[in-house]
Amino acid sequence: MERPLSKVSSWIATGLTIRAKAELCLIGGVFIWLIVAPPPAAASTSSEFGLSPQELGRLQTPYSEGNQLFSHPTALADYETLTLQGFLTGRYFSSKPEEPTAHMGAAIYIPLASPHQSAWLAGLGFGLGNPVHGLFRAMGSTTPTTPEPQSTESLDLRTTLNSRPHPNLDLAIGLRSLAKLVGSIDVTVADAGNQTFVINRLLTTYRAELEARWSAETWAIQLGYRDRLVIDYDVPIQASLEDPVPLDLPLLSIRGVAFIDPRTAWVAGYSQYSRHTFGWQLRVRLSDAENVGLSGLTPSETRPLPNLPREWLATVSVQPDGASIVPFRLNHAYGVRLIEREPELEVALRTGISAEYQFDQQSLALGCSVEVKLNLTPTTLVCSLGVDTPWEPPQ
Amino acid sequence: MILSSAFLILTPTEVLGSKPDTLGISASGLGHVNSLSSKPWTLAATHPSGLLDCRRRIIAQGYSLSHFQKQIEETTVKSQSTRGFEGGLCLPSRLFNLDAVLGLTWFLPDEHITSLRTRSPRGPMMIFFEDRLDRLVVASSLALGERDLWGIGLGLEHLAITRGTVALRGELLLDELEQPNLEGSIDFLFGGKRRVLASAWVNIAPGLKWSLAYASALGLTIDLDLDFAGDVSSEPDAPLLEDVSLVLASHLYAYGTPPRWTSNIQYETGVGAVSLELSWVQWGVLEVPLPTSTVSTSLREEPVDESSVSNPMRSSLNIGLAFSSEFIDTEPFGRVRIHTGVRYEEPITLRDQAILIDAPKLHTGIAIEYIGTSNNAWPTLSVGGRYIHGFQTLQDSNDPNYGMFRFGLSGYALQSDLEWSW
Repeated sequence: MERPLSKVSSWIATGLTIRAKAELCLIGGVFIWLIVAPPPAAASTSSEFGLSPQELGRLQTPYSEGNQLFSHPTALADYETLTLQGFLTGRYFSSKPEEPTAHMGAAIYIPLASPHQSAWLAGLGFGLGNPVHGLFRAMGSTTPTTPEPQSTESLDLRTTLNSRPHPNLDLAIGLRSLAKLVGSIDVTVADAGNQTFVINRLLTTYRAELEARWSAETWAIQLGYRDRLVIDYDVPIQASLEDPVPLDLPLLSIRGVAFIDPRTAWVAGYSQYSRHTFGWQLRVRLSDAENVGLSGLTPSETRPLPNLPREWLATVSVQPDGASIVPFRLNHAYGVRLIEREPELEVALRTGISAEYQFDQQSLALGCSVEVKLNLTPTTLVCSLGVDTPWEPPQ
Repeated sequence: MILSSAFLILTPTEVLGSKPDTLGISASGLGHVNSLSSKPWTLAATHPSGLLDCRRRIIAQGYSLSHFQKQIEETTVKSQSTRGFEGGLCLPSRLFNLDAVLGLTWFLPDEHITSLRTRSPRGPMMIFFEDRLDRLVVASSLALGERDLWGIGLGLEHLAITRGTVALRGELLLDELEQPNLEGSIDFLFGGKRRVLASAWVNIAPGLKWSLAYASALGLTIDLDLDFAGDVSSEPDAPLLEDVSLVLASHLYAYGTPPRWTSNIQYETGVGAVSLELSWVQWGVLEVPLPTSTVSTSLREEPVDESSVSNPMRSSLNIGLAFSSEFIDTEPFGRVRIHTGVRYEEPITLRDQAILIDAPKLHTGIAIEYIGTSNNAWPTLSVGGRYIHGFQTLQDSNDPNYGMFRFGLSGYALQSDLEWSW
């Protein structure tokens, strides 16, 4: 039996058209550049880039092959068989190269109807992206500071339901869940003994996302909206002293925003021409009056947090004709991001690449995304290694 | 000294365990009382290898309600209710040429993920029920083996720990509603903590199955620090105390779920399955669920430590006998199945203290499982309930505030599930 790597070698030597060689050189060049020129940016990796290798390689543009639970809930519609996916994703920031972040995660795609078969409940998906440093790190300060990379990441727990009222129309609703801390602290200090009453509760907060996709045999167009996810906190501290002199301390109230993922809307699609598949997406992140930080130390005091600016991201991706390179599949993608930050517009460029190797019914994939400033200084690099396997009941 | 009060010099908190740990999972689990011979989709949280009984994909979702109350000297002094969504799924497949099943189980309390509070001055805590059921549970497991012969399984239950620091720098004004000269920062990390679940079973004779399960300890720790450095003033730039430094470090342990060894033997008769289950629950090895704190300040020469008392818990033995009938045809209405059982649990606290108390308990449960006439078109409906009776117990505590007193507990739990398979 021919070994896959030797098959690739012979394919590279003999089987490539000039155009395919050019594409491969471009992809290889981008990849090498990604490796040698790492780091930095901010915003949660799962919402900013996605977590699976395919999401990174396509810069979150949609395709007809799934693997995009964290970017497109309607991707569930592409599965014919129940599929498990696992991934390990790392992110490097140029501003904090010594503090990379990483996620381990998994997704389960459970189709309940065949693709293009109408069904009110057509699929169910669960996704988990777990930062390696912990579930969530909340940082804030009343003095302006740059967020630490870890504080921009959080546990990403997704649940997605798909409906297909028409063979070409897929509707999906997703929920992202996160925890927020509420509590209060009351303390009385006395020589006879201290009295303390502390309440500490973790509550669940949810953020909904909706997406609709109309798909034909060779093309699809989809619209999506993701609501705002904000984790704020307010911890009142009430203390009094009985001994040696009676004294009530002022009520302190530590308030702020620990995490925010603003409202986002997108229009996206893909189409196939001459065995190549082209994906595209235009995404807007709406501005928000809040940002991560500490907004006050007493109930009546307000220290305004800076606004989150509006952002635009336009991306295109290409999946070259894969017939001659089976069992491999490649993607490369390019994008531009505009941030409406006062006083001037910030512009950043993105590129992504992924390679997928398919064996038996499993697949192994490696994908990377990188963002650079206009002067080509890299700001952040994200790479992911993932594996997919079907999980069907024995016959 | 003043600022030493500003955070956690805690009196005790006692929040232990979880819903699956205390009452099992699912409506039929409430009726059946034994944890290793319940329905397959419930076993991700208690008996991973038992998932191999899952032969089709199953997803289930239900709602559970429980209510407990305690009596001291015949007077009801505390009652508590807990509600939440509970469900699970199991997904069978093949892996490494063996039968394999992935399972996931969850309990989502209605009101919060976790809820901790220090003890309010209301007397001894009965840790069997107070806040015990009221936390999020998510357990995932994988089983491998050969169906009808043997199986092994491994699972993880997840919980979050908290480490945090509040730092204040500048001038704290005693008589002001705003603190313009005070700067603050926070750094809280919610980390992950996991409990390992391992189990195995083997068919030792036709119709006779022996299972063994182990679950490691799990607990939620909260380490909160307050760090203040600056002046304390009655008005701006008029310090009463200058260059005060204070560091308060507090540690709290809660939701302690003890290590547990469970052995179950199940025999299939012509009319159903009978199972006998023994559990050894090592409450005594848990970290003492009482807080500690240390205050270091420039206002005192020596740090002030507040340490916890000795561990008031002991390990306990539980024994349960349960029966699950075969499906009974009730044409034209469908088929029903009954689960019922009884379980005895030893108390989990020592008798010579009045911080945490517990009584010997008897659990009795019954559940009915109903399948409509068309197995594929309708989900399975289960309704179950359990009554817990705590025997009156005499506590002879060393605490002069309480001395000798008699107490008891009672409670019930109700649940209903819908289960789809395909």
